Amino acid sequence: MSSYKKAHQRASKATILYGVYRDNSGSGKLPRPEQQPRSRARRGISIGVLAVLLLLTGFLVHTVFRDADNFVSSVEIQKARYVAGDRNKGLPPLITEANAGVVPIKEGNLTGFLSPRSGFFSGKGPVLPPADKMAGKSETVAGPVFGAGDYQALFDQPGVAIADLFGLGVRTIVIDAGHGGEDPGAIGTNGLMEKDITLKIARLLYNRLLDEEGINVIMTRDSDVTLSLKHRVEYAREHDADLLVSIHLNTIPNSPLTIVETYYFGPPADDQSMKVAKKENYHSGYAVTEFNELINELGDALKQQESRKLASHIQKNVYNTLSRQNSNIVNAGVKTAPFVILLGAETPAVLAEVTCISNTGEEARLAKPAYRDKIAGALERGILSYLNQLRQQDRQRPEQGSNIYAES
Amino acid sequence: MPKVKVSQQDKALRIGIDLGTSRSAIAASNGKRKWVQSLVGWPKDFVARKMLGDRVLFGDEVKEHRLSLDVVRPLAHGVIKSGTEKDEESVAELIGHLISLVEPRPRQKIFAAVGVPAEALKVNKRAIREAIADYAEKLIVVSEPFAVAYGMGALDNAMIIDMGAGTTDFCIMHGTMPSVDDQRSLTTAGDYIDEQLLGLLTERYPDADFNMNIIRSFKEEHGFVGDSLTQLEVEARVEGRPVVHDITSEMRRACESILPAIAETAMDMIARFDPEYQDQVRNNIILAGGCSQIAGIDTYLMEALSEMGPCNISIVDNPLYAGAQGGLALAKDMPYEYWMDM
Repeated sequence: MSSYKKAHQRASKATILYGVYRDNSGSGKLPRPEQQPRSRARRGISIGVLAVLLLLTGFLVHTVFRDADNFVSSVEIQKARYVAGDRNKGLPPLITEANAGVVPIKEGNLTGFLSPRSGFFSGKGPVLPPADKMAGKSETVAGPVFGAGDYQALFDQPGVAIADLFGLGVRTIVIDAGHGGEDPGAIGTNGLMEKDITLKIARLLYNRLLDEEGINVIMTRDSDVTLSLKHRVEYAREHDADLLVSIHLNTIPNSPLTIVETYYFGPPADDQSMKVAKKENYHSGYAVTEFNELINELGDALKQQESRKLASHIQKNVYNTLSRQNSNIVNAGVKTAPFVILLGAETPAVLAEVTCISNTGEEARLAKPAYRDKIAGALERGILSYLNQLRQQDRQRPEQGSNIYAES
Repeated sequence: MPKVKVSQQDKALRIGIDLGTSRSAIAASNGKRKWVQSLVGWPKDFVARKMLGDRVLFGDEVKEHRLSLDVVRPLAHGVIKSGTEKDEESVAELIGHLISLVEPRPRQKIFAAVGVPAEALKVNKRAIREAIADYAEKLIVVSEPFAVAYGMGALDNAMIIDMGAGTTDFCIMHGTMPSVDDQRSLTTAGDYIDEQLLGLLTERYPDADFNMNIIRSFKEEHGFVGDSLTQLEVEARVEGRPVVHDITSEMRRACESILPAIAETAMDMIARFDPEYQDQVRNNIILAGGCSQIAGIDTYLMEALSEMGPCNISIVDNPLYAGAQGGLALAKDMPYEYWMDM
């Protein structure tokens, strides 16, 4: 082979290798920027290192107290705890098949947590009377408008099990990163754009859920592209989604307030929700007539009920997580509003306004990967605890009949 | 090639995997290479568990104990099966088994290049990633014909026709990564021949007991197209008694059934290629995959394509390992920074 030909072949080999790289990075897989690869080998090493550390601490304890029995048992226990924690990726233990008996979330808790009485105003933050009102109201509105009695009757029939919707093994969760492309969403004082942050959180959430068994997760957008709400809704429909979670950031103009709220579809509880809905529906791509048709399709009480539950779980987890970071954060609760994306989806769907980008402190925190990861983790816990609750209900159903669905 | 710094990555085991519908093969940088039938089986019930132990079975073992197992062909029809949990598990199990066959050192990092049927690459790239996530540190996924082409160094103006069991994949190489237009896929391949053969034989010998497994091994041993010098006779049971049947013409008809579509697709793809290079491509057609072993297939295709002008068709030396070796070559050549983290 002539040297020219050899050089040519080398060059084309390099081109091809680069092509393979591009092809593999372009689609299918997202980079996992803030996470360590969880290979078996690495996990094994880290367990080993920690075990050695624990042994050393144990040895110190041993030399100080000279109590051989205590030493061994305490080390064993700590080690066991560590291993258990590691399996859950360092998160507080979630409800898995194995420990499903200790689910901390019950219907009662949720309503308690949503009621204004439970004191989500710590007294420190600026007081916002409408928020108080809306949180209380959202619960009351959902009842009469959609006829609590109607779906009560539905659930009282022995044949209807919500779990049937989910009993197919794989659940497809659609993660929708709000806005994107030409539509930047809200923009913070220092220029942080909602579309970028929602996408980053969505990717983190996606990567987290990927590791869950029995869950198939897809994203409506994986890059900075303009997508109409119509497109997103249709995307979810096409992929036979079981759940849709749309991630957004709130903005409250001219106010330092930071609130967390989660929406499911329903009539707006108040003016503020209506404003938020207007903002989020802006790029819907639906004509008015189509929108009206969609509204007529409503009446799917089951979806409504499930959406509310999902919203509760997400709201609870996100608020609990974020309030640890920022004690001034306000829990605005679960609300209803006529978002197109929530209505169009045929499945339980929620829109989470995870925090306020209009608050400069929050804006600065949102720019940090660790904080976004915390939000993604909270969303993940919300989704998983909702799914686990479903699974648990499914298991209890034969004994308890349909009472467990009774409205509290 | 720029010299890579000697560091941890050089201790990693590079592997090439060929996930096929019928057979899967692996080749590793430690010199080992293995293949198994792409079959995964779980013991059906407690009797089966008592007999076989509570474990997953692969390949020939599955064939042997077929009746006491829930058998999954993870890549039936050239895409990763999905639907039930077992389907998804089966791919991961198969990959895990393949990797264990080449015996990586404990905790050795694994960099894997996986070749899959072109259709699976389109449809379930992510499922493949998930399936291999537990076993490998880094991964690239490519289409099967591309892996073969890379392994043979046929990077420029060549056409690979990978005739597997589930799909026949076409790929034209022209010195860059093949684009969508350069790749095509037909669902008529080895499995289709088996079905045709079974149909033809049951038509001619309604009393004889043929089943898919028997038919497949007939084909793999005696498949041919064109003229046959000898008569092809096989023994099959009629009402429990062995009877010799002549299956020469059925075998030819079944094997030839997939070829018109293949020839047409190949011609169409060449015709769409840059006219300046068409001659080169036509003289550099490579057949790979299990069906390339059917006797006389190269002559048949050469004749079929001759209306476009003279052409030259060659068959890969070792179709069983061509894909895996190609993957391994790719895994070895891939610069470190191009690898994707799992």
